[in-house]
Amino acid sequence: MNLLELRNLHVAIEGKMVLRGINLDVPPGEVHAVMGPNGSGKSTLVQTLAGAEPYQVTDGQALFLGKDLLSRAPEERARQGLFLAFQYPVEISGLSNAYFLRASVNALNRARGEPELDAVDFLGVLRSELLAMEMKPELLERFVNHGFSGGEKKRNEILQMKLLKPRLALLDETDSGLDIDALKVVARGINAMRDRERGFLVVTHYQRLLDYVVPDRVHVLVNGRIVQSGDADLARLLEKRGYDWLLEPQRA
Amino acid sequence: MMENRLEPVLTSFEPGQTNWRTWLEHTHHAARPWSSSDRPLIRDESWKYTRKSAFNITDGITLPTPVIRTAFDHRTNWQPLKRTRQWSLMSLACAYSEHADLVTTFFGKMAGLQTRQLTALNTGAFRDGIFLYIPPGRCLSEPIELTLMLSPGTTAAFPRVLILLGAGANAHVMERHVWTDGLSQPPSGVNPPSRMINSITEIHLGEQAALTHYLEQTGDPSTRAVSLTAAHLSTDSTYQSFQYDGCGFLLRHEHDIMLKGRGSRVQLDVLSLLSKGEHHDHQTRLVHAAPATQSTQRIRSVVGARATSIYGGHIRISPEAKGSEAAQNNHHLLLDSSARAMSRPELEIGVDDVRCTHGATSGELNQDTLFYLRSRGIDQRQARHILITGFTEEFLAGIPSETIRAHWRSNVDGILAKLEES
Amino acid sequence: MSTSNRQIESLLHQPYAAGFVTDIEQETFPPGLDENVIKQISRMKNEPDFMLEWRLAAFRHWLKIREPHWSIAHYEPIDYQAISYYSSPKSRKSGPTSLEEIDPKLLETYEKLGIPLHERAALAGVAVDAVFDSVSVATTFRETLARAGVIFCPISEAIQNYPDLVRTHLGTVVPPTDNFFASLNSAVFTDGSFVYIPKGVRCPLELSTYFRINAAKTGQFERTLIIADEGASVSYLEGCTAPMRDENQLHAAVVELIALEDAEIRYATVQNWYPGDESGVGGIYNFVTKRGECRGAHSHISWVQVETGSSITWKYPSCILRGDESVGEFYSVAVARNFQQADTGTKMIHLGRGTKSTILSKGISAGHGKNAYRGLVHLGRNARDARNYTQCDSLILGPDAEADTFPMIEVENGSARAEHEATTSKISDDQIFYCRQRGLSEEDAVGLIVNGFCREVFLKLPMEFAVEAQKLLSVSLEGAVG
Repeated sequence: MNLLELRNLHVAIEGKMVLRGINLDVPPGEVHAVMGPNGSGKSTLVQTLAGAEPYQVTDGQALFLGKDLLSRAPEERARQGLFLAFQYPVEISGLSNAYFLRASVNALNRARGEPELDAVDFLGVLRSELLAMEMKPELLERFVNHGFSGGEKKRNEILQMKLLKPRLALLDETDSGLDIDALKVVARGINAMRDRERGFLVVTHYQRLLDYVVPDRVHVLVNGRIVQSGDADLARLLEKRGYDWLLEPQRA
Repeated sequence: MMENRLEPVLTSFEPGQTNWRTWLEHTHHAARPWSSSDRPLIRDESWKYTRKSAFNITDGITLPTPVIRTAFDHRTNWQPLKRTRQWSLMSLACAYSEHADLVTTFFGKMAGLQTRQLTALNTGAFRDGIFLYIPPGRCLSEPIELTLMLSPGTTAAFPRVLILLGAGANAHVMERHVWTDGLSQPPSGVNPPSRMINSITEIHLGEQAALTHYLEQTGDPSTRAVSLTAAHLSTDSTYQSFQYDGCGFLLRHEHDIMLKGRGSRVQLDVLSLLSKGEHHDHQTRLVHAAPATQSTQRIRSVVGARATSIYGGHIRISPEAKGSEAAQNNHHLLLDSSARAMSRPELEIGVDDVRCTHGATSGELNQDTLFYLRSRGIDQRQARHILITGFTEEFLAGIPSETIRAHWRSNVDGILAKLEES
Repeated sequence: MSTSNRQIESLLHQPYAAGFVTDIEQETFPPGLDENVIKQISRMKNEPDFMLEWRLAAFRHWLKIREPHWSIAHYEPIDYQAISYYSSPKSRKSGPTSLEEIDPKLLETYEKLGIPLHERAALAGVAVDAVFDSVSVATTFRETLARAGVIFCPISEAIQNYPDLVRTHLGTVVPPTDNFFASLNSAVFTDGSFVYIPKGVRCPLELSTYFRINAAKTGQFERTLIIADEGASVSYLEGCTAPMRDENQLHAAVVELIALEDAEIRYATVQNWYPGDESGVGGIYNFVTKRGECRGAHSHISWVQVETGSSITWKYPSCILRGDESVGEFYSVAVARNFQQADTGTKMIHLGRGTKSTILSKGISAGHGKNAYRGLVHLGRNARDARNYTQCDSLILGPDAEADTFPMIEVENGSARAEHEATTSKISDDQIFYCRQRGLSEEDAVGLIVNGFCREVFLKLPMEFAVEAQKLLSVSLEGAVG
């Protein structure tokens, strides 16, 4: 069974149609990249799948693990194993990062019928992951994403992904604003999570991240439609030729 | 820097037409009911630390001598009255005949009589003032300097300035208040200040207008001065104000800023240096009355022996002002154990979608930093100097005009040298 | 309406759990206040003459002064002649001596409020004084305390049994002329708690007073006096509830703390008076004067308050730091929802050398609630090397809520240092979505953020009460965030 199946998905924001019939299957164990020029609807796609409020699905359907996804609340989607690494991680002042991470892990554990972790157990788990992400321990005591640098925010997202162990991870421009070292750390985090069960949908504008996280499939999104799909070579072709050659047939 | 170059340009304002006199009389008359000290005004906590009665004076008037010039670093460029297509600078009396609609529309609009007794006192007593108008879309590349000085023998003065920027206009204005009698030494004994100045500057910015306003106040021990800068900001306009109070026995300055238009922005930066026994009182009142408005305030003072520095700041975010941001900071650096500092940073917030912060510190130099410098071989005196200069530089470095920055920096250095000696 | 606003709305409509009325026969004075009423109160309490004179002097002063109206709160004028100044459950004897003599209905009332008065059922390590309207109905663990030399009893009893201790200390921190409500309290106070911790004694139990208003149309005027002698230490907690009624009831208490050399007093309040209904009808006017004096060197007074109840709160627990190197602290969470108005804060008056104070205030405004922090930090002329740190944060939930901050900082000694920081924030839809994407429900997300906001203050409460406060806050705010 596919992790994700999208059929003729149409999405509008504030009455304006952004996605115009997306069809896409992500089977277990695969990394799919969605590329495309600015404004093509990449972020809309993953935000919609996570259940962000401003996006209205006007037509089509989305199945996650064979069941309807769109009727569910954002937290239910998360508890079933859908994870979104935000392009702009949200700051929550007053709430410590460690406390937030534990609340989140326990919410998912509860949903899975697994035991909740107390503060001590959790800290143990956290420490090793923190080390792997090359994050400073004091980031745990700080408020969620508050005063984090761009790179620290993105690492914090991947850290959460590793703790929450989703079935399908949606990564929204996780590479943007990262220097090469941070990019490698993030890519290592993602690769460490790859296995036969788990799937990834990686949204990116550039080929950069895909040098380190080699995708099984690449889809090109233009004007709210997937205009081309292929293997990892397609991403390299896009890097070389840009998106213009794909825009032409659209206009015709 | 400029003391020796100042030359009186207008010894008195030209009297305008008779209808100016009539209008002036009407204005005085209108102000009178509000200027009476008997009137039960709402108790104003902002006067907790400064004696208001020191300014409750209505007679003994002598006009200040305005000196007006443009491009203040080029002596040759100043002109007494300027009426170009670019802009107009003249006495209020002249403006009353040439720009009657502007004067009658905007005079007294930003500085309301009802809210402040001292405004009523000024409005009931002023004889003339300065009018500066930048028409819509005009940009002044050169700064304009307005210097207000006292005629010899003045006992009380009620200066008045009206600055209007049309939509999209852009200007830099330096307003200098030179409230000295040419005395370089304080008079011996402890005579109370013998002269009183109550001045008002009103500013109106049209849509997308931008004004950078420099205010410099200099007084001497025989002077007590209270001044108000009242500004209204239209949509997307920007008001930047830099104020430097180098010397003044008893100074109080108030800012009344109304952010009326969506997206309007204000930045207030103040540096106040208080030598022995001086008393400076700064009050800022900001109203965010429109969505997406922004304000930043940084009020700093360096306080010497037996001096008192006061700051009162009030920010009101009204329910309409969604998406607004306000940041207010107040730092008093106390150089002596007999120095005193008061802070009242108030916030009144009537809507949830805002970001407001304020911070205030009062205290001596950071002992840890001082120790750090000394452990690196810098002596106590120099270490103190480095830290104090660092404090004043935070203000000076942000000043856009190089000329003014340099002028104020040299002035600050001079005063600090004396302050640090004692 | 955004999701977070919906969440806030639902939180706001949680019922008030302590709103029941105890049906019990009570003896209540007819409404009205004059010297005769005061004489009657003094007689009922069997007071020595000096107390009656003290009360009458306070009353005569009160007649000359006017009610203060500088706070942010607006309310209809209070008719002081329409209030009854004394109400107590009828009992066979003048005062209860053992639990067996207490009306079972009273025991049941406290049971329902989660305050069992039977010692075997009581919270371990906590002694309770239960004040019902104008009288103390029970004080637990008195014997255990007595063995340590600690006096913990109703103040009415202390006035009879320890007149000298009371006489020397009462009104020395909050004089009867201090302010309008303090004068009124001094004239008519009926009961409250008295604590004396002798030299060098660390109080073996947490002390706690539970105040309950039950009777209608009465005011509650309690008076608490805590004295920690040299080197003594005590931790004290008060809780407050009242039935739901359409009328506004006045609660004007005075609390005085005195810490001598090296003594330490921690005073915590979980205030949950009836806050009025959703449209702002009814609720308690909580006009309270609380002040502690660090009289001796190295003494320490700490105020912790969680204020979720009352329709109006007017309260500024303060510290006078007279002793050198003494320390004052104020930690506060104040919630104003529906039409609640809270004007609260503190005064830290630094008089001694090297005195230190910390202020941490967390205000939450929701619905049409108005919340103001009002504070004074005064570092006096002789307060060499004194330090203050203040942090004031506001969380605004919903577009109609209001949050104000009115701090005043006076530094009169250049070697002293004061720092003040304030922030204002809200809970945004983005934050809620982010949390939900991580598997948290909307309710949990709001609770998490609010608790995170208050956490530093809760950490200052005694453990048992931190949990209670957290629960109270989540009930109080259930559905309230935006």
